[in-house]
Amino acid sequence: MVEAASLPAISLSGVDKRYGQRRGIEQVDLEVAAGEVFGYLGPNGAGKTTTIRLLLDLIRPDRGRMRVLGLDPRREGKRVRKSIGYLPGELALYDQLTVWQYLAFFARLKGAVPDGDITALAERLGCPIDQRIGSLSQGNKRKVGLIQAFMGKPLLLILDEPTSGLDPLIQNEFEQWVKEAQADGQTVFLSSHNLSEVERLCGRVGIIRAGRIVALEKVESIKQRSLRKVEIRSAIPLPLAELTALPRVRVLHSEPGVIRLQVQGEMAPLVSFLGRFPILDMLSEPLSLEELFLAYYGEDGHDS
Amino acid sequence: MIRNLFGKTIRDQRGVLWGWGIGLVAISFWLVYVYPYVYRTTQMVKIFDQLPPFVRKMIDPRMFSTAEGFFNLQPFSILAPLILAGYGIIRGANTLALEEKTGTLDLLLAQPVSRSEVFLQKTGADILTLFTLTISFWLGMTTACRMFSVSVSAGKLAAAFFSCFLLACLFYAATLVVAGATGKPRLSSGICGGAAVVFYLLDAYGRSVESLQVIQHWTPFYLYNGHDVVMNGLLLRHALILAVFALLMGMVALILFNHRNLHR
Repeated sequence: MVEAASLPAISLSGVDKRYGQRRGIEQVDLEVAAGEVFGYLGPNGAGKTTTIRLLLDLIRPDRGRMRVLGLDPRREGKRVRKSIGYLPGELALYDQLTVWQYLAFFARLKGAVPDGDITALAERLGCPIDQRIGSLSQGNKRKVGLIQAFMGKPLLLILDEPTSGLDPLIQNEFEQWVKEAQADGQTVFLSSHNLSEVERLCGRVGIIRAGRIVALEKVESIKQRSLRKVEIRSAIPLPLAELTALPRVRVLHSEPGVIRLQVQGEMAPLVSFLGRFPILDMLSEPLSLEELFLAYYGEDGHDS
Repeated sequence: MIRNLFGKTIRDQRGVLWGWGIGLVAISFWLVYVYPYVYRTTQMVKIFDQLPPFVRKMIDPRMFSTAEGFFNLQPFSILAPLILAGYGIIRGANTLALEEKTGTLDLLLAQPVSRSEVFLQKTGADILTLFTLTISFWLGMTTACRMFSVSVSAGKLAAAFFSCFLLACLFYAATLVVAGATGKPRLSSGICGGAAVVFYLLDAYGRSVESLQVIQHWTPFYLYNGHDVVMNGLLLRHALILAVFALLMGMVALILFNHRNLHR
């Protein structure tokens, strides 16, 4: 077992990985501190899973230096993985085993999983422990994957799209687990394409796009410049000049009775301005991750 | 409680072991039961006597006059190698490559086990299963011979089955090599199944086509039973070559598996 230390939990420096002609990741530099909950954000195919598979030595880098819990994941893989709990994005389990048999088997492989850990975690998620895995719903299979990752309180949790397929109640329970893990000093590396999930859980995020890290930021700074799309339907045309004069408001599209805006930060100035007009409807939603990338970093991935 | 990957692999094959084991015992009983009838009705000995002398020179007369000769033709010329080598190819393709394809290998290798440990535990369990199937085939044949009063040495049967087991190990290891290099179960079983057919034909036709004999003597099927093991006993040299090649291929497969990027 690796000792928790002041060393970074994850350190990647100039890491490249290609699959033949296909890009994996390029020149990735990344550091995750011990005890940190780190969000790894990116659209599908950006290179999140490639990074995770490199950390677990399932694939090998073409170039660059990697350290996980201070050790080389290739040469000291067994020691590293003894301290890792991993939940894959595309979870595949042994369908012919019961949940209990499966988790007990993995607990033996991991070692150092205290008695009662499995049942306690299963109870919290309401996971049917005596059922055969093959007969479980996707949501319940996901719960098995989560228990498998969290049991034994590993120093580093690597969770690839952990909440996909989970119902909202279980998502809340999962978020509680992440908070408890952080309180216990565990490091969490959480990959997601869901910005709001990362905002709730993580202290810092790395944003990967087309294989390259385009941003490493504190969640607070992302929140401060959070962007929303707003669509307003009004009985009369709204004064465009006054709207654009509002702080951090940009008009994207306008036609008689309908205006689409992009608003950064607080909505209060816009809402108080609209109060003077006969508004029929107002729809506000956060930008999708892809839109966020375009707004922040432009087509080429550079800050815009 | 599943204690380790070795135990889990054996456990996963329980159904196969029971099904195939019962099937092999049933085949054994069937072959021993029909043996006297086949010989009586076809009058094979008379047929052999009518063959041209040069043909008779190529064929051991015991093929048509003794139970060992009959069993050398069936099961040891077709059924036994087909079943056991076939099982070896299926397991070789599935044991790691199918897990890789379905994604279960990812989570397994994310645990504190090395790739070598995973490889050795899984292949060790497969070899044990293959050996168990071979033993059940042998037990079926010897028991049936006793029951139907067919006189065949249990030792010679054991030698022939052991040689067949080595042949199956060789094909198992060869399939592991392709699976270890590609991670593709269908491709692995396809290539090795195809190679087995080619080798089988080379061995079969090599017996009568002189120009093929140089190659024939290096085919796995010749090494397995070119010496007609159930009639003449095990040829240690051939058994050793099969075993060494199987071991070497197993090592190559391990190296390939250890150094490859796993697909997902």
